[in-house]
Amino acid sequence: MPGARPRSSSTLKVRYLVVAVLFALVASAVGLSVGPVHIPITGIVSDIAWRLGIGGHPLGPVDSVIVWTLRAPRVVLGLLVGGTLAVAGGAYQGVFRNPLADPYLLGIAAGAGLGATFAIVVIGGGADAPGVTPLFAFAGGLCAVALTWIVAGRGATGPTTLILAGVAVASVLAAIQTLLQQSSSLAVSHVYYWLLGSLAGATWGGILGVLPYMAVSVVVCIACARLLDVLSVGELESASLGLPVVVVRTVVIAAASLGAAAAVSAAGLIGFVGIVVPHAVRLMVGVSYRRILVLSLFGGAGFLVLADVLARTIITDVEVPIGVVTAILGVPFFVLVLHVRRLRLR
Amino acid sequence: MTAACEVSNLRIAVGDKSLLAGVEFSVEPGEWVTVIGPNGAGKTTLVQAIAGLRKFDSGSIQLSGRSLHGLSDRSRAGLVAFVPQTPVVPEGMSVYDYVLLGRVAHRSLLRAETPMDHSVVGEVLSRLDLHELADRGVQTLSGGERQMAVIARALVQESPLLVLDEPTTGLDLRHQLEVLEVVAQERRSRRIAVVATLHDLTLAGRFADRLCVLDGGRVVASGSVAEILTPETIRAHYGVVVRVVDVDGIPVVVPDPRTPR
Repeated sequence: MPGARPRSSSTLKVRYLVVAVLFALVASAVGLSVGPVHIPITGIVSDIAWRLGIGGHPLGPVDSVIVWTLRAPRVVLGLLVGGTLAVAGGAYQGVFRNPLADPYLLGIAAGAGLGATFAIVVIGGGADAPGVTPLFAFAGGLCAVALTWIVAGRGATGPTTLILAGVAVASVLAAIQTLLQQSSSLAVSHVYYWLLGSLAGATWGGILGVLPYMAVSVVVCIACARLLDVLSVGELESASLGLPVVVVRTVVIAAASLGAAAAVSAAGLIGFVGIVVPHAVRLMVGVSYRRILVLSLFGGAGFLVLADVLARTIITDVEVPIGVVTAILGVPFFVLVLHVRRLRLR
Repeated sequence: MTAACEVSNLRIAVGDKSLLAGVEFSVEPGEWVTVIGPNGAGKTTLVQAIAGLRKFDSGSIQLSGRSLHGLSDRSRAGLVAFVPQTPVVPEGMSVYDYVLLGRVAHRSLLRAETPMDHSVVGEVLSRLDLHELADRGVQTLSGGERQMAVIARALVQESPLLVLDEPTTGLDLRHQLEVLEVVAQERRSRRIAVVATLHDLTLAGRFADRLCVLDGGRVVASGSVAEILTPETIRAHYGVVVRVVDVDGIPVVVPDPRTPR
């Protein structure tokens, strides 16, 4: 029948979105509540209500400082970094049509690592240089992607060349980084700590510094989600359908890299979020990037906040590097989703 | 009347190797021209160039009177739709969504699909008998069904020119006929011009208004089916001795069993 009901399975369903947002909210509540001092969620909600002038009771002064000065920036940074890395990873997977793509594919990790090491060794004289390290990490990450881009022939060549160029650039930068790091025995532990990633350094000022880049990145990637769906039929065919392939590829890579570099500069090298979250979302809701990217934003945000809660509580008085937690938490979850999906397909 | 496609003196070389050496070629609106020729003659290169998917070194290609040079990807997709030899099959995408991809050029890039897009897709799916399969994953379809989906995607582009590169590859006899018949029907009812490449000479003759023989990157013969499907022409360009048998007015090309190659 002409004009029959649209049967597209790529539109974002409201119930998926509600579940994803709820997940991020619950994770945030857990992040604010759980820690060496347990502060009940009801108390926090009541405090928020009191601040908004709609009833409720304020928290005690100590609890208030713990929640709003210590934990809240950390939770917010976790939401931002997790969401951005997941969206960037999903966008990379779409643009490269490669399920193994992650936000560090084009050398961001190695470049940011080199930038941070340079800041710690040369500028900080072996100690962390607050405010400077993130800046250098950010610049290093972006320079690495730019270098990969130029080495690969400015995007005119296919994605495979880009990936190979990324591998080459990352290897060289990682080598230089190691060399620099070895030159200062003082710096090793600081560099190492930075490389493993952490949300411990979260401040409201730092958050405001990275927020614009992350916002631009996420908005652009999600706006291009529809085009990533077109790209799934390959470069030649999407060009024949009217897609300016090189432009789309350039814009999406630039946007995803910007967000990933900002995330890395704020929280170090947190692995796995960018690859596991979009995949888990894909297995649950289907292959359309219109769903994957939006849901990954909230999924990644909630996931990283929960990972951070574990990182700071799993062992008393010691912080486990959050990258370790994302892997330990992420892999079993991923395997579970994979199997549930396979059983359902039978 | 402006030709749906007008190719003049088209040259494409890769390194020292010349793929197309000055091709002249044109297709009128509503006309079906099938390009035949031996492997390596440059058929795929030619049709990809016409579809705007291949840079050329010199010469010109005009689509409905507009030069391919300087056309945006979107405007070009409004003038020519392309069915590749081996389409990429995206995993997990439904037939409906796959066909809907063909509408991308009909709106600005970041816009959502309009009701018009959905209605065109719905109509084409019905015409091609694909509506039952709309919710199925493209990768679960049989070869014949899949090729229909690819053709549906090209048809929803609503371009005046449809370019098909070996559309019957890997299909059984019935599906070969079905695919070509659908294209023939669409062309008649919507006056679409068709450029196809085909290896099966009998099928080529049966479905085209005009045949065009490409050999060594040049158009070496062009004319009506009767003019081209002759033992002499085929022997000259394929190096095979054949007989052309008339079956109810349709020329059938059979390799001569008495002449060993």
